[in-house]
Amino acid sequence: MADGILIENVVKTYGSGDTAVHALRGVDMAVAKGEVVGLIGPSGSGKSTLLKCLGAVIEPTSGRMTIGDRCIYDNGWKVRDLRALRRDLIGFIFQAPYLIPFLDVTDNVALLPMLAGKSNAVARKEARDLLGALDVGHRAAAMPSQLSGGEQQRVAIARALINRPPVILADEPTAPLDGQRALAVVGLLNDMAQQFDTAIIIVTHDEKIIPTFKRLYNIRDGRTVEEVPGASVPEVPA
Amino acid sequence: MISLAGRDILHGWGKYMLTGVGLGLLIGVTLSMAGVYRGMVDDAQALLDNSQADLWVVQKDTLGPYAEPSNLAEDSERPIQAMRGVAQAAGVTYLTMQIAHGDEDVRVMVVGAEMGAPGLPGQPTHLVAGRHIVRGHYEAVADVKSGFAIGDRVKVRRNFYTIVGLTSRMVSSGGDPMLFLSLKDAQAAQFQKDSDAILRQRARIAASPQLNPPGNPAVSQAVNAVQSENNNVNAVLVTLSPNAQPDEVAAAIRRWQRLTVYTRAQMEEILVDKLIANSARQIAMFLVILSIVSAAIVAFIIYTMTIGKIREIAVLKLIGTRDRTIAWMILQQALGLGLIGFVVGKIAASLWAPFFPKYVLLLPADSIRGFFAVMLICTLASVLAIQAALKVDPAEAIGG
Amino acid sequence: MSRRGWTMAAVLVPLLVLFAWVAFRSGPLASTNVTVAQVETRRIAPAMFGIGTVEARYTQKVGPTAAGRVTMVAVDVGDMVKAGQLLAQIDPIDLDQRIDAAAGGTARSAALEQAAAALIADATARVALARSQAERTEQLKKSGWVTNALVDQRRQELAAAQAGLVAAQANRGAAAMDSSRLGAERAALVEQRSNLRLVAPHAGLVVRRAVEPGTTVVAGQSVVEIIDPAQLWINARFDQTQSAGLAAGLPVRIALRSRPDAPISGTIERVEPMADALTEEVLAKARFTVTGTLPSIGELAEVTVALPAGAATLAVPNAAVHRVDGATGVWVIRDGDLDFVTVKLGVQDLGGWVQVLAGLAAGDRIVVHSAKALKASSRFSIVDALP
Repeated sequence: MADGILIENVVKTYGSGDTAVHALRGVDMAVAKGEVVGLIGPSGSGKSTLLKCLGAVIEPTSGRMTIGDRCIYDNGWKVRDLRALRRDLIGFIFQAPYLIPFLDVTDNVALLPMLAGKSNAVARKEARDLLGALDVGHRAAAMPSQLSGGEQQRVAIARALINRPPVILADEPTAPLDGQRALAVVGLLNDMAQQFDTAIIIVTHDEKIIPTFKRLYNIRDGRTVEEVPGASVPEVPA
Repeated sequence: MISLAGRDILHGWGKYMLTGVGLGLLIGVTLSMAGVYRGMVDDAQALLDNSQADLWVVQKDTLGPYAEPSNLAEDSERPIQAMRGVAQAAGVTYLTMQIAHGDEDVRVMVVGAEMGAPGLPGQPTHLVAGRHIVRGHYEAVADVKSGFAIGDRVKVRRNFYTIVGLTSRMVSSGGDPMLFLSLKDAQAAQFQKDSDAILRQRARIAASPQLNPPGNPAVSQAVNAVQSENNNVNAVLVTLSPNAQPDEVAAAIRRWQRLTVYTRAQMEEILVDKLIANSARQIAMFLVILSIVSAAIVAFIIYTMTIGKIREIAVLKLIGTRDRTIAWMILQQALGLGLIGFVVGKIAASLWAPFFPKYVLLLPADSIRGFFAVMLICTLASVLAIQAALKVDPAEAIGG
Repeated sequence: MSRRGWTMAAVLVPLLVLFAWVAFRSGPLASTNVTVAQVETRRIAPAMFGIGTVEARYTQKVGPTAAGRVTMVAVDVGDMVKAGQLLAQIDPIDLDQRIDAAAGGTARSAALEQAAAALIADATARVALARSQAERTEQLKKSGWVTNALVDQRRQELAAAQAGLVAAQANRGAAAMDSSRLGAERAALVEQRSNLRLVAPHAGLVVRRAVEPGTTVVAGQSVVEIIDPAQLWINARFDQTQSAGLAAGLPVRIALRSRPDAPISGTIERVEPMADALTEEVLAKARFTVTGTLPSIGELAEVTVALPAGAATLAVPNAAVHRVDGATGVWVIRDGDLDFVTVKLGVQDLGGWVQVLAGLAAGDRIVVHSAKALKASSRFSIVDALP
């Protein structure tokens, strides 16, 4: 059962009349808690549009979206504060870490719980714990510019996880990485999904990691098709 | 919740401070302009205060003695002295001239005042060095702005005067330092002609058969003596007895002596409204322009700082930061810049004020007004940047 | 604190300190700097200062008493002359001829006198004849030889002859008076004639030669002016407000404009009873003896009269005296506050020290110089010297 995130017949059309662009023509997706699925497709297929709809950044034209047992969109937003929605229910991992350069590592991660209303001390403690779990605790006081690419990526993952959102959207997280590291990141995400009971959707066109997914969604011309790749989950290098 | 603005500033505080210092110099210039205006008005008021007079009696139908030339016979002070309500009446002369000092010329206002008793109107109110004039002739008291020192001998017209005392803030309405002489010396300086002119005058009189009848040489001598008499003053300054009303006494003098009389309020109006009105308007326009320029510069700086953070703002919006948190961050940065600018500006204006050729008066009230104006300008200037920040689409954080 | 923190503090702290300093120490909030002195006891030697011109005490303007033309001027400016020395000669023009005319008139009247005397002799003779005829006729009448008519006729002839004698005597009196009148007129013209020779009435120095030979002068016009060079004085003017105590006999120091560094000593000869009302000055004459070259008449001079110092009294510098709200006084520092104390002032000396007759005590600390005009509420700080 899809108790992570459920998308039913989501349509997104830009413009109207003759110049209308039908980006999404009825997308169906279901991801369970603790599951990691891939979202693949050629460019122009509506991948970004779908991600933006999933991320509650743009409004679909019609359809239904549910996170957990909460319907967030049913032919119209069902929540008033999208920002709070994003803050509390959705975690984002971007192509680049996109850490806030003027906040140190701890504060970058602690920012979200602070925005949610937790006190600074509590938020920072949670952040430090999470950074420790992700093996970057020793860099907690550094500024983002002092971290290596891989460390920054882990901090970005920590930021996505800190509020324990039920859904995490990862947009090409392995794009700048080589084979080994890419697999490492995917392995990490799998671990986190298990540990924190989060549904993770990874948008990617990286050939190296596609085989690792148990389930895939292939989006073509605005419609998704569920697929199962051939290979099994490889060993996560130590 | 941590202060995003504070963290951002801390991260690049050197650049921030330098920007603030630059803005501060601009604000300092603006504060100095206001100080120049206040200084001009203060010069006019100092002129009126320092003369210690309650009423100014001048030639009929003139705006003198500062705004227009005015000449009175010296003995017109006697009937004024006798009027009810008048405590003291003293003649005074004013003459602006250049005096040589070393290699250069100094522009001074030569003031002739009666030095017989202490505290007569027209005398300097306080000294910063030396003593008041004691001898009836050939002594002078100068303002420190003239650059003279005690013991200097200055040449005014034909005579040398020894500086025996120094004053401060005794300036004309144009900012020229004053040089006090006894009334007789100043009358000689103002009304006496040079030797050539006197000789030509004597020759003219000698050639006229009316003024030099043959066989009666006494006539031409008498005429020469009358021509070289100098018993005029530019104004009579009047101080009133404790219970006298200035307007009543002024009206009485106008009616019975048929001279023009101005009270302190009227003189202030003449000086401030007529004499310095144009300069005041000039400065006011300049202040307005400076304020607009400052606002534009602050707006530009804040906008640039914000645009440099577009990616971070998009990310913040995406991960759930409220619009108003982001707006508040930008506003805080603008206000912080304004605060640094104001502090630097006030320091700069105070430090360079004494070096201006004319008096610059920085009032605390003006500084407070300036502070609020700077804060307001920063707030308005940040509006542009806030608009840009709010328009940022969080989707930009997610690639294409 | 991190290194960044230290650097920031190094910038911000001085900035804030500077700001605070600027806010409180400059501009109108700043306190006024003043210098103070203690009221001391001094002997004030009041002095008066006036200016004047060098004048000669005696000037004689020598000129003719009748119109004439100058023929010769014997002296020039700068000559020393003795009493009686010839200075100039005026041409008499018609005076000599008028004297001759007068002489002629005198001679004529003498002749008339003689004629009158002769007429008297004639009339006397007639009287004698008429008398003797009248007596004879009287006698003949007695003897009856003549008529009454003849007697009357002879009596009338006698009366007529007597009248004729009186007339002749009167004539002679008139002629005598005429003669004396003409004689006096001639003497007057001669006297005038002698005045055309201008001589020096006293010994002295010629200072003006007003006309040259050939000029026509009228009565009373001066031809040569003479002064007594040993008697020069300064006609000095003192301001009325500062001339209390000016009296004859006081010693003075005179500085001539041409020799300001070589003062001459002198004495006040007299104080003029008539002061100058328009210039409000008292006039006085200061006599001096001059050594070396004479100063020019009309040269400006400064006259300083030193009065003897009085008894020691409290004194303050005149820079400390102010007039506030119509009262004259000084600012006194009491318990760290400024008080304006009204004082009664006495005389002043040329160094600017003024006697304080009432209002202060010895040792009071008074404000002498201040950077701004003071009010009772002014904040002040004491410094050694301004500015």
